[in-house]
Amino acid sequence: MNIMAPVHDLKGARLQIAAGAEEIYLGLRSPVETGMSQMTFTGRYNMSGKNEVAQVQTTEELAEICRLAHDHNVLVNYTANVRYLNEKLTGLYLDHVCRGIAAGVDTLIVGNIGAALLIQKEGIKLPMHSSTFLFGYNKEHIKYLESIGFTRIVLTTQFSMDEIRDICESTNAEIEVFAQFACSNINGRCNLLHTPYIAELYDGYDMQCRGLYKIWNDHEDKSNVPLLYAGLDCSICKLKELKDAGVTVLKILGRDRIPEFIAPVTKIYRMCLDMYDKGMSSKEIREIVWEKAPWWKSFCEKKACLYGKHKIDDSYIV
Amino acid sequence: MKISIRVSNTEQLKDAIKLKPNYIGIGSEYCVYKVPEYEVLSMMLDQIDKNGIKPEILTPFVPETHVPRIMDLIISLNERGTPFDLTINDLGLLKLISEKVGNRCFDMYIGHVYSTSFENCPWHEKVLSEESEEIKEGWCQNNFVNDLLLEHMCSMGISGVELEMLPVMLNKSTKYFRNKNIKIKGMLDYIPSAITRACHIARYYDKKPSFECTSYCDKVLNARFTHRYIPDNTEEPYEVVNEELIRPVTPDYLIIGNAIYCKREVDINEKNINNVDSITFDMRAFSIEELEKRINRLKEIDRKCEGKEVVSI
Repeated sequence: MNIMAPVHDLKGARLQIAAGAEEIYLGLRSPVETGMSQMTFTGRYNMSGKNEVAQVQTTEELAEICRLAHDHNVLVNYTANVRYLNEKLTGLYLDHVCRGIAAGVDTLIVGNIGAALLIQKEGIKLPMHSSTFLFGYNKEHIKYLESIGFTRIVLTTQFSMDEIRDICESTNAEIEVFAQFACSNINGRCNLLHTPYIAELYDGYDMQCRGLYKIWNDHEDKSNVPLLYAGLDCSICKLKELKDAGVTVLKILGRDRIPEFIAPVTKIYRMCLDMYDKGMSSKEIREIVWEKAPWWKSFCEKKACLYGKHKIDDSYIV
Repeated sequence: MKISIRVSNTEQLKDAIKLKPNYIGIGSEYCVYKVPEYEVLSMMLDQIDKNGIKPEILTPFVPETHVPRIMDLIISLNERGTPFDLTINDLGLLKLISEKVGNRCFDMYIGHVYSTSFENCPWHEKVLSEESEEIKEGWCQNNFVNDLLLEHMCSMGISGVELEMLPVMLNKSTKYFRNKNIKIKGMLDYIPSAITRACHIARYYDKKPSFECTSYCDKVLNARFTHRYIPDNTEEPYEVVNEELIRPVTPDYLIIGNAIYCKREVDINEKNINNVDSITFDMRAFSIEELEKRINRLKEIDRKCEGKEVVSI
């Protein structure tokens, strides 16, 4: 199982490769002359909710990152990832794809059926990976994505281990899952977006799904309810099961985080995978993780386990 | 212009029939358990047929275990032979229907799960404020304003789209669909802003999503964001939000099951009405009186539209 780590600059690429990522993924800011400021064709804004850069800023830097990655046999996955691609945007989108290809990226992460059809119509031969924007919860959906040319499919975080296993068995496509920091809503259909503007108001803490709410209707009136909180944060105890299920790629989230913060997360997941390969148990591994990164313990205390048994899983529509 | 009312249970169905809409919708865009089993659905459809109303069946994203049931349901409805509109919100299901259900007596529409735009984001104007006019328009147009995508969907049997009646959507996207002979159903007032597989209402009421919990989704739960989450502070992870700053940007949310809606009233005028084939109301979002008033207002506007059909109410 490969680890795919997020990158938004050359420094981050160096750190992630050193941390043990076999693959990196990244986006590229669109040039100013396109009329785009915060918007991008990468599935993220140019800046993050915490006003950190989330995209590689120039094609030259992207090319340098690709060279570095290829020198280390690391795959470069390029986000050509949009939810909305109408006629007005297709020309600019195609330019974005071509800039990535010219810089040397290896694959395209695509989140829109129209975009996938456009890429094929243009004769672009790079492998296409579906993003979570193309979510679905049945095998027919996976077959459909395969039938239109996707070679890797990323699952949303709201899947059980049994479902992941079942999907892996049913498809020839590679299956990718998220390692950490799962969304409460379906990523491809949530518009309560963390954005620079909102983050400014919220002083950076803009995850509305994790906040508290006053709720009311004719029969209810309550305060301080974590009504929308359905995110889970860690999968280290489930890595062996994910690998055994047939998952081929583990995605580390955090393109919009500073490299010094996110590369250590990659390093922990790399270390865990290596320890599983040596036959260690999840309990032993967890204890080593707590020693190396004491803050990790808070996930365990909250029992914020992805792909495991959590009260949040009971609310999944299955 | 026609009126459609979506109902959530048999009581709401009785009320909806009294309002004499052109369509009545049963099922759900978001939760598979809100799609009734065939016996219940069949009884509801008999009531709708008797009153000369056309049924709409809504299907959501479908988890693997429900695929056979939903497919059987669609096949049974097709065999029943009475024409209806089917809203699809799952590409896997669409693929299956296109391959396995021939001689269809139903028209297929792409629903709100896929048919959407950045205009659904409550603070989209703020986010887009620094973008060029072209980019603003591009991001706010409907996702299906795309020749390749639309042709592809039509090849799988889609003949219409559902969309939210928001300004850019109405002024720009609908023209495109009209030119392509795509039918348009517009949803008024309630804008779906997020959906999840982890049902918010089920979690709140400590239920596992099932056919038994569906009545919890027959009404709206209002939610106002009051405390932000500070992940770095494990002792006190919540902090009261600054009302003055936050409130103008963050609306109150309306939660129905696993869907989060925002209310946005759009100025409905003659032009807007003529841009869509039908306007949809969700019965859960209105009292009967409110709904009647809203429909009467539409009827008034529609009457002013020269040469256009008058809403049948």
